[in-house]
Amino acid sequence: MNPAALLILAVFAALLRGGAFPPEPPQAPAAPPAGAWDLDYGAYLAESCAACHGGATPGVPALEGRPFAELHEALEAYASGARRHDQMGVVARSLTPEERGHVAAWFAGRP
Amino acid sequence: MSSPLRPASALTRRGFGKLTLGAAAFGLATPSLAQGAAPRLVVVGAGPGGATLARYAAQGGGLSVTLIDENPHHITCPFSNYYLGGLYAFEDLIHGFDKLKAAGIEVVQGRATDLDREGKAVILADGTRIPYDSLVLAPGVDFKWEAVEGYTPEIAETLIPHAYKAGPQTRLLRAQLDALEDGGAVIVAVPGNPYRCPPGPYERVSLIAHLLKSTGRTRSKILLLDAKSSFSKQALFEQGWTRHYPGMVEWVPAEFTGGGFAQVDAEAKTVKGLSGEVFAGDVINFIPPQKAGAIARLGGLSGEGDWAQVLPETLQSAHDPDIVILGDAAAQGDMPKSAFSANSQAKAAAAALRARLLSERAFPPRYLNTCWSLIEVGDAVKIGATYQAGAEKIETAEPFISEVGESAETRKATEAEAYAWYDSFVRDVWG
Repeated sequence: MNPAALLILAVFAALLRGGAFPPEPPQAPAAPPAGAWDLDYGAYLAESCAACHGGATPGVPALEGRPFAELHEALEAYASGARRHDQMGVVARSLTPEERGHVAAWFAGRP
Repeated sequence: MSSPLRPASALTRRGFGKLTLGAAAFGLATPSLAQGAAPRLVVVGAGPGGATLARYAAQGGGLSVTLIDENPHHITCPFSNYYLGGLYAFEDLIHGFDKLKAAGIEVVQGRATDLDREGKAVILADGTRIPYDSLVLAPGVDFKWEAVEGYTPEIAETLIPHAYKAGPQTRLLRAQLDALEDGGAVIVAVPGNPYRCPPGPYERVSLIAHLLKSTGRTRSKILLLDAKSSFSKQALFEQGWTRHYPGMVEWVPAEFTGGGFAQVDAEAKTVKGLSGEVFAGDVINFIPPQKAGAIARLGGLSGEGDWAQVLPETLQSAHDPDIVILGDAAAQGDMPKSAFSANSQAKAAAAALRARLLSERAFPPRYLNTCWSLIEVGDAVKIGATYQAGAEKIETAEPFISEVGESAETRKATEAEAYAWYDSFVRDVWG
């Protein structure tokens, strides 16, 4: 059987199973499973945030110690466009879903 | 306050470094490593690029970091327009190096004038040799004094400031503006691309207009002489000038200047365009065309051009792998020459340097820039992008820009962001 026919069969099989096509992107978990996040990588990613988020004035919020779910959901919402902000939109979309988890976990773990 | 981000990052990095030190010792690449000493990282220039790099590279230990600058402190170009507009104190632009020293960085005050690339040493004006294993050059820009007849460093320091390296000339320009009578004419002359901070001159025009308007001198005019026929955030600035400073700002594009400037006459207070047309002003701010700081053009580091060619992934010189060049002096692809860009590049380059010198874990470079511009109090705009290392250059990944029709609330929030950024940024750079 040629590859195109195989693909069509696979699509039919998926539809028959009730699976969506194209598939939904995987949903990132709302809380960090223990050990799931790469905190060294998160620390490196967080260096980019320090240019704007390291001050003591109200124009840009501090991120350290805020709950993982809050930080992660915010990054996901900026990435999807559900929440609008010029810089945060492009920054969140420049990160993979895994990277968004790493950096959120790193900030959440800060005092 | 030093950024609370730093200590944990340093600890995790250090921990990783310890694990891999054995591997590093077998991969000896540098003379000092071979002798068992910490690799010597020497950084020339303590501006946003050099100071950030020194600070981030020093975190986690294991490197001997020396930072060379001819000044005992840095005066930022960012927010110097706010000073010109009467919105910021000059003293608040000055940032010392004490926190860099406290972070274990050796700060040397001196002018780096030459390189011995074979002997791997930086040579200062007084003859001092500073040896390196890896060298970082972040000298910023030099002006092309040869490009415009009659415009010399002496004229700039006394009569017609460029004020495009923040310092005494910034104060001179402000004093000249303070002395301008209502109805007087100000010239701001802007070079062709590329130059430091693309929207900088247009924010400057805005805040000079703010200064004049807020001191009752609304009959004064600002003649914006441009070598270009378009400019950064043009629609946003032009709308702002019409809204806030009606009749005060006139933009004179390349079609009338001839695309550049032939002569500055300090006695007659005139600027002559390449078109031959002569423009007169009571106060003249002449921003000359620019090139990489001299040390980044030595020995072919800038090839045949004005800017030093670098590898997009690591900011290493395309001509010498032991030299990193970043910030305004580098040919940095799609990134604009800005303090924000230099800071972003410095973090990517610092991680890459620690990976090379200490065999630490390597991370992909992340490049980001934002330039805020204040048009009038309560009305700020911004432009920026994320970037990625392409095969040939640093390429734009995703850009953004403020919109012409934004609400006053959005513009006010952008203004608050700009102030917050400056506060955060100077801590990120100088500690």
